[in-house]
Amino acid sequence: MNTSFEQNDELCRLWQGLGRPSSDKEVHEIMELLQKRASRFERTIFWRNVCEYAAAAIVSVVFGLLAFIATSPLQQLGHAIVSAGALWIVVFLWSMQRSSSKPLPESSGEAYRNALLARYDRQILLLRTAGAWYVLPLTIGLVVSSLGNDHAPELGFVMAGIMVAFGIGITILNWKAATKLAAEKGEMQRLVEEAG
Amino acid sequence: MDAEAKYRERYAALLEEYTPALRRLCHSYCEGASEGDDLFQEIALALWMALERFRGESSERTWLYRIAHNVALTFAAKRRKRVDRERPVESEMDVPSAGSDPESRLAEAQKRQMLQLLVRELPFQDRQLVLLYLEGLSTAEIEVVTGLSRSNVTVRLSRIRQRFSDRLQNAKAGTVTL
Repeated sequence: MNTSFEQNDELCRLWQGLGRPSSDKEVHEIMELLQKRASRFERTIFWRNVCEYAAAAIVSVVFGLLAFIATSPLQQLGHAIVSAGALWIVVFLWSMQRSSSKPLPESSGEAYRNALLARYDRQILLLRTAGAWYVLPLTIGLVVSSLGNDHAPELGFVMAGIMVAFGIGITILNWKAATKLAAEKGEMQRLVEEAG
Repeated sequence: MDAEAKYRERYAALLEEYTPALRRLCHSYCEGASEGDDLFQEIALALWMALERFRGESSERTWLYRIAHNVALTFAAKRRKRVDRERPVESEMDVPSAGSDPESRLAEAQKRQMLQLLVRELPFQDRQLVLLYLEGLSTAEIEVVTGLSRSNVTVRLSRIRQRFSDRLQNAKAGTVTL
């Protein structure tokens, strides 16, 4: 086996002469910046999770109460579906987050790539199926409750149409996000597969 | 000294030792200086968050380069191509060696610039290998970082090194421009 790679040669000397040595000031500045970024990152994740769970809880409680006070059976059913749907979504998301841990960057190159690709696959699948597990339960509930509007049936139909259009819009947005992620995944595969 | 202060000190020591190498790595993967700075921050952040999990199962530098190259891969897959024309990478990174006559300093600077260009021309995985080699990692360490077999690393590096040497030789003789 050629062991010459293990000795520093001319190419290594040339290469390692590029750039300047790090100064205490630079290290200090990087650490300041990082601490800000790290705490901002943690805060963002924390508040995102809080918002998701709080929104689901509010929707579930509000529509649960509406199901009790609604006079029309169709509206009661619709509100109950929305209430249960919101709970289902948050439980589903929570279980998905638990089962898919983020790939650790200190893994070996191959293990990291495989974990990352598997994560891409899961996220793409989630986004592509968002119409079924996210949009559908809420849309069905909202459409049913809108159609159950005894006082103004015409308004109920209009509202149901708006809900369906809204649901389709959200599904399309998720589909587009999945396409973007698929492109990222494709780019990553291209990078690791291209040969010299 | 409390645990947090120790953590900060350990991290600062890592940065102090490896910042020049990480900067070279970032500028080799990126289109422009500002993009290189963004990647550097991503790597530094990943190191900050991973340091608490480091138990010394591998050497510090293979651990660090694993993180750096893995983050670079994710960054490269996500990035949108943009070139920072105001701050070209080559001129920022190039530092001619001091202490010799102007002619040889210029020649050395040209070789360094060419080496940078040669590295940046390589496909991603070959670039990863050659960057590790140029930073002085052994084939065994490169194997640990990349997960490629040692024979694969050796064959690829041999081919790349030969190509680089030829191009640099030709440039020295004034027959080739990149």
